[in-house]
This record gives sequence, C-alpha cells and structure tokens, in this order.
Amino acid sequence: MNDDIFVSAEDGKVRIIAGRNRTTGKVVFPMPQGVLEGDYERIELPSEGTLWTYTVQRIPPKNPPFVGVNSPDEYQPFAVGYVQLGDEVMIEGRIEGDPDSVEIGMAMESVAISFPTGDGAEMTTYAFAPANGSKS
Amino acid sequence: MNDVYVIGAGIHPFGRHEGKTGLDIGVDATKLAVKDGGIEWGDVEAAFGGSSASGNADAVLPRMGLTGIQFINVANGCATGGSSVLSAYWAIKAGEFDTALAVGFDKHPRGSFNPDPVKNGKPKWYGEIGMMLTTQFFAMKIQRYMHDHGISKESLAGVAIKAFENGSRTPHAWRRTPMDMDTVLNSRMISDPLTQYMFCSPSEGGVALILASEKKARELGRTQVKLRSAAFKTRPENSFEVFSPSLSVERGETPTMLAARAAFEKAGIGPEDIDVAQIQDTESGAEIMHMAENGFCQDGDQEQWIAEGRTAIGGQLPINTDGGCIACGEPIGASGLRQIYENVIQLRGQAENRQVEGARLAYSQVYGAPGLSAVAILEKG
Repeated sequence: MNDDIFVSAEDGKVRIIAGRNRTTGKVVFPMPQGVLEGDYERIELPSEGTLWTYTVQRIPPKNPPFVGVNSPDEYQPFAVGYVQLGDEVMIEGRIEGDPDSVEIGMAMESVAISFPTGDGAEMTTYAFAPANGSKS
Repeated sequence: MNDVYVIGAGIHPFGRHEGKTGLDIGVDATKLAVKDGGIEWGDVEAAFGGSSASGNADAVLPRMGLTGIQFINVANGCATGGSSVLSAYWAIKAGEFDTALAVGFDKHPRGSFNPDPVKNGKPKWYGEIGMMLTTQFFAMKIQRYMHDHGISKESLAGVAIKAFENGSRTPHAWRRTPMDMDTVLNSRMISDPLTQYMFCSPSEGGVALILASEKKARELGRTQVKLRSAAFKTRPENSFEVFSPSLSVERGETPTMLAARAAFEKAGIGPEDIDVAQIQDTESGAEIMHMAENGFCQDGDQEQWIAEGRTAIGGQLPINTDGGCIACGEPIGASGLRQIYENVIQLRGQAENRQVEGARLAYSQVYGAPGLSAVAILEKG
C-alpha cells in the first residue's frame, strides 16, 4: 500500500491521510494524486471516531482484485464499515476483530493490520478496531 | 414535441440458457419486438442498445438485416437498458425519427461481479484489501437505513418472498419457486444483513422495445401504451454511492430522488397516481429504500406497507410484479428494459394471473453504478 495512506501515531494507532480541497474545503480520502494533488492540502485525520455503518464480508471476494486468502476452507470473514473521523468525513475500512460483535455507534480507532495473502506473503493496510473497552 | 408510444415489446426469458450466446438472446428479443409492433425490420429507423458482457449490441444488425440504420451502443452500468430506451424516447420526441428500437441483452458468468478498481477510478489497494464489492455497498446502505428508520430483517425477507411469489406467476422469470420466511432468513448470509435469497444474481436475458411517434402509432393502430415522461439523473453531491473510500458527514439526496421528481414533474402527476411500479431491487434493501426515494412512502413506512401486503399484487401499489431482479436475475444490459416490458404487458392487460386490475399509470426506475437512476412513466392509451 502507498505510504501516503496513513502514518503511525502513538499507542499503536495510525492517522489516516486525507486531502482538503483548497477551494471548497471538502475533505476526501485518499489524498488525490497526480494532476489533482495541487488542489488539495494534505491533512491527518484524528485516530478516534464512531462507526456509522458496517457489513460483514461472509463470502470470499474474487481474486482479482482481492489478494487475501480466499479458498473456501481457509477464508476468514471480516467486517467493513464507515467510521466518522472528526467532524467532516467518514472513511471506509476493514474492521479488526470478531465481526459478530460489531455495532453501529461503536467507538473506533484507526490501526494498521497485516493479513496473509493468497501467495504466502503479507499485506499491510489501515483498518479500524473497537476502541479500548468499547461495546457501543 | 411528439408524443411517444411503445408499440412493440419482446423478451427472451431470463435465467440460464446453455448453448445460446448473449447475442442469440438479444436477436430473439428483437425479432419478437418487431413482430409484436406489427412492423418489418426495414421499418425501424434508429436503434439504441447495450450489453455489458456480451459484446457490442450493434452485433444484432447482421442478424436482423443490414439496413444502414443508425445504431448507438449504450454503456451505463445497471442502468444501460433504461438509458437505451430513454435515448430512443428523446430521438422520437425530437421529431428526428418515427420508429426506434431499444435493445439490451447479457450473459454473465456465475457468481458475483468482480469489477477492476483502476477502471473505476479507484486505487488498486481498494480491491486488494477486499472492498471492491457492490454487495458491501448495498448491505452498508440498508444497515444504516434500518438503524435510522426501524426496518426489520423480516421486512427484508418480505420483499424477497413477494419477489419469488410474483416470479412464480411470470413466464419470463428465472426463479419461479415461492419461498417462505424461514428459508429466506436462514439462507447463507452474504453481506450482513442480506442473505443469499435477498440478493439478485447475475444472469442471462434480453429485451427489446419498439418506440414510435404518435403519427406512426396511430397509422398502425397501436396506441395502447404511451410513454408519458422519462428522466435520468446522476448522483448529486453527498449521495452515498458504491465504491466510495470516503463520504462526507453531510448526507444529501440520491440520483433516484432527483430522477423521480423530474419524471413526476414532466408528467404532471404525483406518486399517489401510480397504479403499478417496477423499481430497482438489486437486493431487498434497495427495493425498500427506493420505495421512499421514488416518493411512494415516507422513510420507515415500508415496515407497515410490507407487513400489510400493500406492495403485493392486489395491494395498494404492487411493486415488481414480475419478481424484479430478485426473481429474474440481473443481465445488466436488459434489466431496465425488462421493467418497461413488464409495465407494457400490465397496461395492455396481458399479465394473466399477475395482472394489476385497472392499471392505467405504470412507473419504472432503474439504478446503476456509479450512481445514476432512470425513470419512465407509461400510460394506458
């Protein structure tokens, strides 16, 4: 994953990098690259937020584009959701931990996770994890 | 401006058809529509058509006859069929042509679609980590909607049960076996809260429609179904759409709300005037949310509507009378045209045991990625 998606923060958390449009003020993720880059100011989002909605990917996604282990015997379902970070934007990401205990409104924090890929390597990505002690 | 009539309608049954290509299916539908319209292929002056997985739709030309007519290939996601018919409508309304064909067909491989992130303007990692799935979007949208508006999973199942019941009465439907609440709720969970039988599946099918000017329709004595209004809108700012790595906290309107409003305004009628509706049901949640987005009820009222059977055949507003995408499956190029085909059959009074009695105004709405919606309102002539 591109280095400019997130940076490490304290306590094992990460800060996700977004872009603020210099004209409209609108915040988008990921930070636009290429010809659009100059129109955006690079900002780091807060590490803590609230879960707005989610689902669980119960069946293995197809490869391509998914690179994780997706054989029917070894596939591990994971939750995906939108977490509001700050006052302006919600970010879509995978949710760490037991997918069956996820609930709308949970306090979440941004983290980095690594998952095994189908070819035996590992991929690192930003993700969200329930904040310490949070149930909802 | 000319009034526009739907004079011919042809469908190739949806489902799985071994030994037939998508193009074969499209040609069959086109032949049926031309015959149904009481014209010859040589009378068709313009054509618009689309297919997502079966090549360019204009490949029907060598099979139908190379008459030199204009043929414009249309590609607009799940709204491809709706876009084709709207293009034909505007061409005739403008007075440029007296007859036009709208055709759509497809044949998709089994299993869910697996779109390429980069082709959709998203970073490669978005697909690599497992977020490039339309099913996740539909599930997350209805999950929040259920939380905000008190919709139960039994209502989700209710939509699917109605779809299979209507499908069992429809010759062109794919899944024609009624199903009970337990079977739907206990089928394999695909993407919470949506189970296998709440989702439509990629399938095969083809539909063709012949549209004509008022002058031509009168000449042929085929004025049974008039296309009263049509509108097409793309997503406005802050609409929650598929493949969005981020969303604004501010929630806005949807393309369906915009298209519905525009179509009703052009027709000079309101949602309460509609007798039968075909609305996009990619899965149960989409039908529920589209009931409100199209203006048929308030957010949250769906719970009561479904419990009381108001959207079933015989109810106040029958919805997806042929079983919709859930029972017919989704051949991308053909789905929006199937909705209009079903409305034509309903307005002609040819729908047999799924007939909505006294139907005079029929509504259809198709929705597609990356966030567009097409609405057509038909009227009995």
